[in-house]
Amino acid sequence: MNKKLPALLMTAVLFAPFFFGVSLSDSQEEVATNATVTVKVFVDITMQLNQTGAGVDFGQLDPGQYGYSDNNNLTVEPTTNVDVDIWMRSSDFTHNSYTILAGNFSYSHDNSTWNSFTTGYVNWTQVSPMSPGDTTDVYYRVYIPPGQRAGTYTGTFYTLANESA
Amino acid sequence: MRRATTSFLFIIFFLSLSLAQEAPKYNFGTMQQGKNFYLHPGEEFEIPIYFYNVYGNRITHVIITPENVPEGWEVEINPEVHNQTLIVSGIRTTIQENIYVEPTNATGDLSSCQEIISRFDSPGKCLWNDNIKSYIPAKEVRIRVKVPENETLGSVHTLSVMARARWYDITGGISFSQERRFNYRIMVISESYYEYIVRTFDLGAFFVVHKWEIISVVSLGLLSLLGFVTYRLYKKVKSLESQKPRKGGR
Repeated sequence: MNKKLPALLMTAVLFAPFFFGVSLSDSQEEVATNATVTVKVFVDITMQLNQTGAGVDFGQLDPGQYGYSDNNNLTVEPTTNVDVDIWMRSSDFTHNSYTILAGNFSYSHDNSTWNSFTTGYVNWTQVSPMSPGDTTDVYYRVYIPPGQRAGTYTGTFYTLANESA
Repeated sequence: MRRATTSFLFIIFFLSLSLAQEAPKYNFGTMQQGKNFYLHPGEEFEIPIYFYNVYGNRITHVIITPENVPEGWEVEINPEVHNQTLIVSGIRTTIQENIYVEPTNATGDLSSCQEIISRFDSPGKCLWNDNIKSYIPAKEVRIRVKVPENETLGSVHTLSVMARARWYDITGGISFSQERRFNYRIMVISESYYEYIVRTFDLGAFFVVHKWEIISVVSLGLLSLLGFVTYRLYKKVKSLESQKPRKGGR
């Protein structure tokens, strides 16, 4: 009896780490299943011109003079389900072979902080990001460079609205 | 009969006049369905984009251009770009577009929405919008993507599609355009599933994975050594005890 007890104790001590290790491993196991769901992205923007008839009209201007538009609105409609960043750019304006560069046109949300247009998109940081239901005022300004040839110049203002990063 | 026709023409005239007098609202609504796709080499796949106009009072003309098309991939837009003749404020003009989206109303009733869709001259769908709890009649454009047969498995590509909306009620001067970019992340995978484990020996990873087995083996070794030493000592003590002369012995 005296000889068997130390042998049993030794066996228990020897196998203890196995039992301990296995039980600890079991407690750390996790079962995970990957799942994805994609929510459809609605983006809906309205640009409202607060004047009837044709687009923005700066009227009759002389070289060296600024012209200002009326107040317009840009609205992120309630069907939109993401925040959106607003980016602005403009084409150069042309009349026959004459050009007014895009940089002579500006836009503003308060009629005092003006951002010059470029031909590439620039994030309109004063209004971005906009949430569904938000509306911002949009004012446009043009500067006619000295010596600019007379005529009616045409061009396009572009607005890019995309899901905010 | 003649009086009725005259009255009808009057109504149409005044309606169009009032619409022309109304301040323009240029609305451009879109719905992107899915951004991440898994395609296999040689696969053809169609991605829909939906366009709607429920807050505007002018027809939105949309032209769609693929961007960042990976080399060797085919991307087609359906409906294709085509010439469309318009008469704007009495002036005849021809433009290019994929689709036009006329102003419609969102409705809480699916059958009313489907009735609007049935009048579209290109495919459409009623989209449920949870924000306004209504169905939106939308026109569908499908982007067909074909992956080359020799595309590398596991490669990831970003395909973009730019949609430009324009309005043509401008009699001169400045016009407005809205643009929206749709980005898609496409991973090229094998057509059939397979998996194998690449085995490389990593001592650190081996220890982390098998730490309890290693601890057990080392413990076992140490305890065996301890047991062996204890046993030898025990035997030694026993043998010394047996060699001691007994008290009172002859």
